[in-house]
Amino acid sequence: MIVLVTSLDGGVGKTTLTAAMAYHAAVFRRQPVLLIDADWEKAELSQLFRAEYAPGWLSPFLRGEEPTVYKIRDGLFLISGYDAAEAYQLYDFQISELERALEAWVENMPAFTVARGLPPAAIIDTTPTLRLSFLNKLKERGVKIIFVADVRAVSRVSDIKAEHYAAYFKLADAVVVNNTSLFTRNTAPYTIRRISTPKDLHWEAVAKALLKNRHNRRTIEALLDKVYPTTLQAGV
Amino acid sequence: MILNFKKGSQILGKKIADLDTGEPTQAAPLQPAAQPTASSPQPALAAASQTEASQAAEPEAPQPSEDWRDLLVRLLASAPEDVSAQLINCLSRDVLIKALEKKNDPYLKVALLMLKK
Repeated sequence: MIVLVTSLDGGVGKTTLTAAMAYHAAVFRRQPVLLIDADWEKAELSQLFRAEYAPGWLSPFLRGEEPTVYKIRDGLFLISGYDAAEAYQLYDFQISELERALEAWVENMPAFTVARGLPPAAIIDTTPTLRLSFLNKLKERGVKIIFVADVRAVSRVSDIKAEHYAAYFKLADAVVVNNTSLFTRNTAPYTIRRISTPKDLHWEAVAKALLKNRHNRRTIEALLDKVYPTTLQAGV
Repeated sequence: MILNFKKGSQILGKKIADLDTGEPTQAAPLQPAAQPTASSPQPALAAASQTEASQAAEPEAPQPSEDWRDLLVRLLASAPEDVSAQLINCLSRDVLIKALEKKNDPYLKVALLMLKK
């Protein structure tokens, strides 16, 4: 089971949602999760988890190195994205190359996780505005797409923007909207309410703060039921 | 910079037994020198998870064929800081440099150049 968290705009809360989903799955649902930080622009998930610099998800393709798997806690693992973010800045990559590497991960994920005793479920945090053609390709391979949006999804900046959002909404298995006054539970199936920023911007503090809100907890629970039902755990 | 998709896919699809006896491109993850705090992730547990995996998924025992340089670096990086410092004092500088030269990493290369100055 592979879940990919993506968005059209940046800063919508993909990384925070990924951390909260992973925490809730591993701690409350006892569902092990492997996180992959495939945000090649910033590698913020790796930073949120305070991962050390080590060969990440792109390293097999970049230097022929085995990626380092961090054990965050029981049932929660992370493969970082520092080297991909560094390579994205330093080298003249075609986006299609990075997409192809990510697609190879999806293709080889079962072999990779089984051979290394890792969870069969992976959540991949990504960079914004992945191409629809690429997302469709992943979807055909059985990847569940979670699309995260905020107020910009309904702000109607332009018709083009609205069309873009409509295309991503249509493709996604679940759409999560960061709650604003423009959204209610009736207009978006999964909404996240704003929380005050925790003092410690560490993944566990952020996840706990978000999940402290009952509405958010229900949203994450429902989201996991949709993309990672507990029945799938039997396949570990 | 061109990505090597064939190599990458081979690595991802490899079984642990293959990794243990595999090609020298496989870099042993370095343990960070700093002690992990309660809130930080436990680094580089790939080796641990690999062992668990080999017990669970691979009936045959993996062949320990790691290079001495990998083992030395991992020992020094994972031992308590004072023990590592004592060990480093006992080892010849050339041996340490040779061990570090195993990994083809630009940061390490710069550090080695500084040490050799």
